[in-house]
Amino acid sequence: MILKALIFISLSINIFFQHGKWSFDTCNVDIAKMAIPPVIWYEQSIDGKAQRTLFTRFLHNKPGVFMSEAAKCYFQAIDPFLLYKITGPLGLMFILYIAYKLTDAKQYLALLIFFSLPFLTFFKFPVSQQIVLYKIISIIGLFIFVKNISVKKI
Amino acid sequence: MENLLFMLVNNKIKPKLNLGLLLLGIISLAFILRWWHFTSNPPGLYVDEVSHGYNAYSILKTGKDEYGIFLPFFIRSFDIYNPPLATYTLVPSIAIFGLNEIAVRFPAVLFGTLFIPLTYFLVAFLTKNKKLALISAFFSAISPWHIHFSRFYHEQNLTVFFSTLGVTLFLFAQKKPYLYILSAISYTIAINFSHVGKVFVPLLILGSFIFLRPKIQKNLIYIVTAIVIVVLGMTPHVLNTRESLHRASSVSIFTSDVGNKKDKFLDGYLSHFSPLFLFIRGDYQGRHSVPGMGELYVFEIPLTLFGLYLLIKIKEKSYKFLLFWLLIAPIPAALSIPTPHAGRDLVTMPVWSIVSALGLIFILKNFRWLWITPLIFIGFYNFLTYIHLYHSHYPKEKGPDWSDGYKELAQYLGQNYDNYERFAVTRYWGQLYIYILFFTKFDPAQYHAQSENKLAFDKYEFYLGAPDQSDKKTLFVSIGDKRENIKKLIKRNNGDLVFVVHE
Repeated sequence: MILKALIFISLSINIFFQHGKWSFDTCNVDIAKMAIPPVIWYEQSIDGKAQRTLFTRFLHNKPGVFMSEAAKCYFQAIDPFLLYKITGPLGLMFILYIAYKLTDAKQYLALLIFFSLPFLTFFKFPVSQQIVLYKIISIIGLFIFVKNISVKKI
Repeated sequence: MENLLFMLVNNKIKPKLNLGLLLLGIISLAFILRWWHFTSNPPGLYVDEVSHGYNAYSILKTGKDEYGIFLPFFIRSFDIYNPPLATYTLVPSIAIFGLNEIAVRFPAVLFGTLFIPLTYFLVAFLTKNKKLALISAFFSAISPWHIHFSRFYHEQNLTVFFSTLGVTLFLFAQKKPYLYILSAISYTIAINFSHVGKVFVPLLILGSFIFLRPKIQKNLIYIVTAIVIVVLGMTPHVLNTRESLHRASSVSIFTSDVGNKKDKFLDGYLSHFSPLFLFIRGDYQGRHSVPGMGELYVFEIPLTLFGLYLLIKIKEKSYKFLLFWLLIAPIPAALSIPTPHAGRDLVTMPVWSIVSALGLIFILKNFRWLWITPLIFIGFYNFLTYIHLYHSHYPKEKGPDWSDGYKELAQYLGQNYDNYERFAVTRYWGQLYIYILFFTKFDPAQYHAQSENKLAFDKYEFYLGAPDQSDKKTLFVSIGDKRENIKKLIKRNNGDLVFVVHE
């Protein structure tokens, strides 16, 4: 038990005090909205006027462009290298471990919430606090991992 | 765990249609997606395709490459020293179709289509699950990543085919041991197709032995012979390290100024698992991806998540082998720049198709129609969008990446060969000599003696800045349309001017 606690504490400190260099493009709901008109104009001008308007609108429309921009923001926030830089190699592994354990336990609502967290920055949640959130998630993953390992394995 | 395996094997939906018929349908779909307008989209042969093509033509006509070297083991082209098979494979194709786009791209379409049944057999033998095999083959057939790389001649496409064939034969060999030799031949071919193969295939062979557990003692003779074949296939690379590592040294993170090498490697490695690369943006290079598309479809996001979960969860060695494959495949790409690189990482693609198929089965079993209906709708919309972007947008947007207009120029110069004593051609857009050789079908025997000078051959001279003055009757090829005596304007698909031909 003491050994488990020691492992948990030392690895938690390691994860929490990771401070690798990373970059994060400003990306939020306002920027996604601003991107809509130029993107649609560009796509529709490539299609030209010869193509039926209904078909053009079906493929290049406001919801589609907005979702595409939102997806770029979202996936930027869960870029594996970003997570590695923020939480370190162990931290990245424990974030993945949480996702694995939630799926394994069929906790799909919790899984949905887990995968929704990176959307926070899209809704202007401060990036600095998002980073702390990642570290906390990673430490929770570590906690579950340490809790699950048997003393014999150690 | 048993439940999960049971879930995979014991699918409640009984196949009403013959699996073979379905596979045939999937192969036909794959062929149509790869064949449809493959000579005109991607819009133009890019420089490596032209180089492979002309070197193969030269070998066909004279037995020597562009530089006059008899049956070379390394193709020197642009001083890159490529592994040889990418060029030699085009020799029969050029013998049949002549020196043109069909000859250069047909092998890509052929092997790209053959890859679909190969995926089926690989998965069927690896997992003993024919439904999973069929769905994997379907995902390979519609994969934007694989469709694109099967429509132009890129050595990675064939590396993927032969390394997958090597694994499949390795699996078959457990019943018919002589197939170890064919597996070794296939692995050796994959090694000699591309620079990626030299790193990836030996690791894959190692994984085959660790995870697929061949009965070594029982089949010792076959396995030793197979190892000898692979070692012999790699020997020229070991004996000629200067040529073999020439390309690697020019793109390697170890020889480039990229800062912290460890960070650069990890950045490159993880970038190939980035959802932005896989689902949203794809590769930054215009030649490798369609703008607005990732390497996989957006609807595959939940499939890959659940598929990866199963790949980790299922403890069978065969699934662990797939996980191993997925983890080692980006290593060659991560050792070089730029990253992520869809071409160098193409060897990962077969596993992503299997992962998506696993994920689909998981969703079918756990969520049923609640998820499947929107998934089918989104999948169909994704596919339609991809086809539209690929066939309508891509040729207009990415013409410059495919040397759009060079063919028209080279053919025009060829048609006017007898009317001028000299052609002064700008080097502003890069290496044009190879396009002129290719599209004018310039006699290789005549070219060999002039091959060292890349600034001139025969009547053609290549210049940067202003062309040299001469008393000879000259046709100039320049950029910018403010010229006198304009004979022809060469434009791209989107209407942009590339060359001005004038006197």
